[in-house]
Amino acid sequence: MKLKDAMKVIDEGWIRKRRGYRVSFQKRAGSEWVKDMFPGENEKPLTSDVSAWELARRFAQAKKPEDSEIHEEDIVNITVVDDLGNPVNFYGTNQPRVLNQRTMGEI
Amino acid sequence: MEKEIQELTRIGALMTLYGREVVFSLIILVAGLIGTRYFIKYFRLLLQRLTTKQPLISGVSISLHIFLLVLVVAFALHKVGVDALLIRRIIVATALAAVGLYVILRPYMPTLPYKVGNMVEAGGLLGVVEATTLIHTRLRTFDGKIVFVPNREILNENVINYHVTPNRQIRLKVSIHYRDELLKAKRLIAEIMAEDPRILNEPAARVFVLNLADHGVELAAWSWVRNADYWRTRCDLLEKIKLRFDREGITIPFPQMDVHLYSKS
Repeated sequence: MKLKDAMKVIDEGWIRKRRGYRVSFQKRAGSEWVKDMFPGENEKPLTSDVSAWELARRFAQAKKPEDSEIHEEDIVNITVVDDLGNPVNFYGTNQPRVLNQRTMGEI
Repeated sequence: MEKEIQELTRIGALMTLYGREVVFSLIILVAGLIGTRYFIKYFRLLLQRLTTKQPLISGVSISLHIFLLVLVVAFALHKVGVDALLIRRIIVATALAAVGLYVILRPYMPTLPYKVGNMVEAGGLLGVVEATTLIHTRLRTFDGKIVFVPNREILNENVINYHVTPNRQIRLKVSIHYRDELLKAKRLIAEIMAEDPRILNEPAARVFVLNLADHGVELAAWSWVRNADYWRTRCDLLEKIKLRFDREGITIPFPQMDVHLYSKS
């Protein structure tokens, strides 16, 4: 096998290089919880997960619920996802992180 | 004394004959110069709304400015009585001479190693070139300062033009304690670089032992990114390496020295 081909196999297989990040969340619309994200699917994703997590943190702080009641336009379960929509571990702890978390039972 | 009086009388006669035309021409010249200046200023603003390419904006503005100045001067000369055909011939001859001299002398003319819009490090400053003149270069630094750097300083020093190549290498140096797991540290840094979408696959990112220093093992982490991504990626990598090392129990040592004291007895 040529070295060039081997390098290609390694690059594609040993660790997945993400192509971008988005901040995913759920918002209350009427009686339903709707999934949304920013930047939108038609927009270019963020290239830095550090920036994405910082935006997620500020977004969560801006939309922090005041009580446990459900209100219109509430925003919950904020996290960062990659270009395939898979959740990305928070780089600070290497653990999954969800801000303004509400479990399915509460929702 | 008589000579001076005769001269003054002659000038007076000339002014009587041509004075009105001379005054009109001067008014046209002055008004034309001022009007051209303002016209070009607003034209430049209009171009900046249509395009962000600074070299194009500068080129078109300067060309139009020269053209309008030539028109104003030609009109003023014509008003003062100079023959239109003669004016045309002078303009054409001057233009041809200028183009000829430019073509012949261009290889010998010292040129600045950048264009408007390039990001450069010159005169000890890092910024974007906003304009160049014969005497100085106007540089906008990233903290918002406008600096006028004399061109002679630039031509005598090394200039780094970050615009010439699309990519740039990030070179990080990270130290770990001698007690820490070297291979684990290398693997972690390599993973962090591999996951980052801004780091290019080719040339491949590398981690290697740079030095066995006094305070610890120095690791080098080299990777390539696009110019525009350089600083942000560099800062993000350092942050992630530090946090990951903290979690994995790898220490970044302080520079330190062991001192051993022995008593005489």
